[in-house]
Amino acid sequence: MSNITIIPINANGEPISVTLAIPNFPQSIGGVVWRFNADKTFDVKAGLFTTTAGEVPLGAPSVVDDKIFLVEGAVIHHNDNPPTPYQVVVTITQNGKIIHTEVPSENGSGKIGTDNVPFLYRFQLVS
Amino acid sequence: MNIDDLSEMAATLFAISLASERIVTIAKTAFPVWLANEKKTGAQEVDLVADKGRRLLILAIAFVSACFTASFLVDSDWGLDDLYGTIVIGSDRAKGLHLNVLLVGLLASGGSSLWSNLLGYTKAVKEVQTQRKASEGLSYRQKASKEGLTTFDSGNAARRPLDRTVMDRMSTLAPPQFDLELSRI
Repeated sequence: MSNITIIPINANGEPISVTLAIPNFPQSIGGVVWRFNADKTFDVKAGLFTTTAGEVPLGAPSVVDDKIFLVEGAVIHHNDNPPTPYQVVVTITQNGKIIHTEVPSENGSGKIGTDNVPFLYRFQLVS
Repeated sequence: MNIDDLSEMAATLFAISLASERIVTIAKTAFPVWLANEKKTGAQEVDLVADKGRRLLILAIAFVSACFTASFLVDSDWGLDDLYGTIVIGSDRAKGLHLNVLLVGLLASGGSSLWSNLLGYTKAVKEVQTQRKASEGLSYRQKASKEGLTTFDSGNAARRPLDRTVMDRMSTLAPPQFDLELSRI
């Protein structure tokens, strides 16, 4: 079952961005942000993110209103034995201000050893 | 005792010394005949023997006033018993330096110039430590960069960049179904 986080946005505000980060932990992350229409049909690929370039611009409020975004990513392992903890943080910003921040419920935190840990996060922007 | 605690001790004694000196100055102004005027010989030189009493009195005033000032730093509502209480210097109260008020008074009555110099010395040591840490961080970042790593946590740790296969997979992924159950990366 896919959970979708509803995030209210200001329809008259500035463009919106999502930032994926793994603060205070040494692992790397990477992935893709996909955009879907409100009826869950695929729309466009919003962008890629990596540890050093974690911000993906999503667009103006008029463009992204009601759109659903799927963050498909992975925490890249460092061959840690025993496994070490990690935590991914998703931050949505508008006009440079944080409007939502969350740890993905699907593998957004845990321990990582010798295999990459895939994670998913879905959110919908609603004005 | 670490440098921060030493700096706090110097600052405390410096402040008590200044307060003590002000009290001595007030006393000299109030009683100039007994406290301010030095006894002199016929050749207008200071008569160390005849002036001994005045000097001892000033030292006693400095000591008492320093003890009195220090007693306000004892962790309790002020009372006469604080004049022989204990003050704690240091961020960690359990491990901090415990000094008796009488000892603090003795140290502070020596004058503020000593503690001012010591305070300046501890500040210089702390600056050197800060610069050394910044230099080590820069060196670490340069070494990490040579190894192809990026640093984080203010340059105190390094992380490995994404390898090419992961980047290739990310950039060539086909659009997913919305109900995708597992990330393909």
